[in-house]
Amino acid sequence: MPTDTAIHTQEFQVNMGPQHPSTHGVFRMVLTMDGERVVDSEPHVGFLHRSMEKMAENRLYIQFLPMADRIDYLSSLFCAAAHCEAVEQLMEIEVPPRAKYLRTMFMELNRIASHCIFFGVFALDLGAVTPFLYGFRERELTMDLLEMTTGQRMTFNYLRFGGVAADLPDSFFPAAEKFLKVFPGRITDYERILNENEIFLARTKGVGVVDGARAVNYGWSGPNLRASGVDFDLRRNMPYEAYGELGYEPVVLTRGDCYDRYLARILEMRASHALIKKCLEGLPDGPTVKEKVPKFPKVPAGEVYARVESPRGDYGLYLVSDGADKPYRYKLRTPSFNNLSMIREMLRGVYLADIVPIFGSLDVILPDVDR
Amino acid sequence: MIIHPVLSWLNEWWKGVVASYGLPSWFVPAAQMVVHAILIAGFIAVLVLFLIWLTRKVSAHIQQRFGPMRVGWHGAVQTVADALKLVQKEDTTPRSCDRPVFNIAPFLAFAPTVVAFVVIPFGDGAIIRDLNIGVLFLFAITTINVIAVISGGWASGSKYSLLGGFRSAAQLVSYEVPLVLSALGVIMLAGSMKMGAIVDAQSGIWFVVYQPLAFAIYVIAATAEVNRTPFDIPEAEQELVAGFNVEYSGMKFAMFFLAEFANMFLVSAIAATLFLGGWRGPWLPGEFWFLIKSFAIVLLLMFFRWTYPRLRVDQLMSFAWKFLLPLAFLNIIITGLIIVLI
Amino acid sequence: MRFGPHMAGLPLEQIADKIKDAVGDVVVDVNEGDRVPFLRVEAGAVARVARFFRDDGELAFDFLMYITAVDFPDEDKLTLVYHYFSYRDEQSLMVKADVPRRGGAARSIAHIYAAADWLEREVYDLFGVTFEGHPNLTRILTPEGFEGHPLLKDFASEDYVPFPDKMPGK
Repeated sequence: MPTDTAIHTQEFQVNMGPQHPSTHGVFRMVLTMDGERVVDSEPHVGFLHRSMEKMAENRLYIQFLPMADRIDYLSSLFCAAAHCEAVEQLMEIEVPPRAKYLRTMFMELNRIASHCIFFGVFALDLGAVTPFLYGFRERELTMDLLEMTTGQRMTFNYLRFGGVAADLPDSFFPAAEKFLKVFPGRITDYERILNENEIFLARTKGVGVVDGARAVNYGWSGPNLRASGVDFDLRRNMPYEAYGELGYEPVVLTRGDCYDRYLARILEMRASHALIKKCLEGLPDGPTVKEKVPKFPKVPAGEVYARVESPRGDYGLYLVSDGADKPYRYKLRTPSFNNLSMIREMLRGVYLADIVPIFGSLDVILPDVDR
Repeated sequence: MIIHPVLSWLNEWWKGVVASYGLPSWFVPAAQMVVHAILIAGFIAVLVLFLIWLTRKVSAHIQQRFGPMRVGWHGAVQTVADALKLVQKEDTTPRSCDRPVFNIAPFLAFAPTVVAFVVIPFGDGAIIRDLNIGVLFLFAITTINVIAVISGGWASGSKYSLLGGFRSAAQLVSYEVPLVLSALGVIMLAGSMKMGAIVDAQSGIWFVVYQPLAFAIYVIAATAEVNRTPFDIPEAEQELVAGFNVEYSGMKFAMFFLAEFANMFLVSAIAATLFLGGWRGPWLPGEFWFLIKSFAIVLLLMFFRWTYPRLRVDQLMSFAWKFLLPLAFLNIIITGLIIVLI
Repeated sequence: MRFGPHMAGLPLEQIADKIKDAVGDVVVDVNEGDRVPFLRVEAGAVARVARFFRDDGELAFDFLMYITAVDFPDEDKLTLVYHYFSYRDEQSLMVKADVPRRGGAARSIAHIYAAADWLEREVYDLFGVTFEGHPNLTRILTPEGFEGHPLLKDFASEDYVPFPDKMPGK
């Protein structure tokens, strides 16, 4: 860069958010720019802080269960699953096998729904408007299945301590068959629209490359981490619910750029589809909820850490109980918080136009960050 | 076939009026100009109304939905409703703006497009002024858009608008060059810059057959000139929240909006004239063929918009300078060689 | 998610001994726990333990899952909890340290585990524990101008009015 020119340039600050079409929630970044390049960025979170952890300390376990759905409303079954698992471990309740399979199947449906939104919104941020509507069309299919069983389209309130709230209605099986038949063709459509598109590749390949070791140091998890080459998935390494019986091979990619993070989620949708098929075929008979589980449980004293693999990553609940019927300390380990903390380092030196794919490829949900 | 005879008849009628009422002789050309102006303005108004409706329907059906359905037959009157809404909106002006430039910029975007329609051949002889330098005039006039965009971005007094204005200026200026060069091939084949002469030279075979490369370059560069995806960075909603026209509202915003659609039709009409044979075609009147061909290109531009993501600014620039420009030169060289040798 | 003796990695006693050799006599308590094993160390040693965890080849604790605190007002202490995980051995381990409720402090480990940057800011914001050496110890979740540390048990959450001068009426 010649420094002896007579032109005097200056860095300036641009505020991105909190209201902005592509920040996926209420998130503010103060960018220091030198022309089109970002010199530094200062992320501000906390706009969606609802003090979930404090509220949990003042509510009965069963009272907090619907609120747990709303911690990350796009993957609400996973948040509720962590809550239920923590309580079940402390109270040493064994979940009947049919309930385990139902939980697994609906969690995978929820994962597909969440990844559909990711696909649509990621393409929308880059300027391709149509995939957004295609993603939502697929999401409607999954939400129909969920609504049939739980009565809700988004925050399901479906899990109970020791099982699930309701069994599958008769209308579920034909609808699920239809979904299973149609869905792989739709994923192929998505891949054909974007995977080989020159412009899409130019915008995402080589952009926002993250090294695996650095990602682990920042506490990354989920598809973001697997796109950087770290082969770890709770569903295979530390199985819970019915994953142990079903078996699961995670999707691991190597380059760690935005394209790989996008591709990891598309391939995960296929893997989830296969899992749902296996669940439906192998669904055991039996009760859907363990009998004689008290509705207002008094959880024995102790502490436990319950972990599930949510669509954003490693969602965990550290529950400390002192024997009362309300939690003593309810610590939520949310994956988006750690995923987002690396944003400052990732944005150093990139173009303004690269911020959007980088941020979008992290698939961060702000309520998950702020709780 | 339709317009020219009607206008000629009108012209004769004016002469008759002048003769019988003893009006001064400059009355005929003056009346002629007024009629032309009204026709063009009316055409553009109806055209833009139709194009906006068409955009919404095409995008809706691509996205598996219906689009406007309630206001009129399949939403045909929707645009009128939207226009009425825009007209009665409050005209907000940011405090830190440069007021005269802020007020002029939308009209500066719209006026050149209207003027450019003067040299577009709508049918056999239906061209307002068949200038000797028709093509040159077109490209020169449409370049005034750059000034409009920069003025809009600068005068808004907001950083986002400024960034949008810069990007747009860089993009428009860069893509002018391949655009003009691709038209050069056609001019060499036709031997003239007159729009009417170019259409006449295509009486045998359309120029798209002789100049496929130039046609492709023209369509791509034209998409960039009218700021449409994949080159719509100046208006990238997801990044700069509508870029250079973020601070405009009401009638001024409507002007920018109108200008974009009118421009889109203008470049499609130019493509139809230069490459697809203009108004030439069997048994339908020329005007119909002209509209059919122009709308075909318009539909092509619309399909681009709803399918592709957008390019990053540096990728856009390198695409123009490192890829389109050498190809355009190559096209000219090959055309020249073929003309000399054959 | 059941943890327990089936996990790979070194047993807890051995880890405690290694810490004693490398860092010093800082381990106060070794507890298999019924579900999550933990070591209780002195508050001043958390940073040295963290560095040891990251760098020691045998241990490979590369993943700091979270940092949090648990408030025990009856015993007048806050327990800081650092939960580590090793991807290689699939071993999970908590390190606990007790600090006083008002004015508690610990060394920051943000330069050892990058995840600790925001995690420590959250503990500072919600509990009031300061981390010495942190690059930017400011509130992260509560709004600007907020006073108090909400997750402490005696934070008067029922009649607390944020920004009282901006409330309408009274």
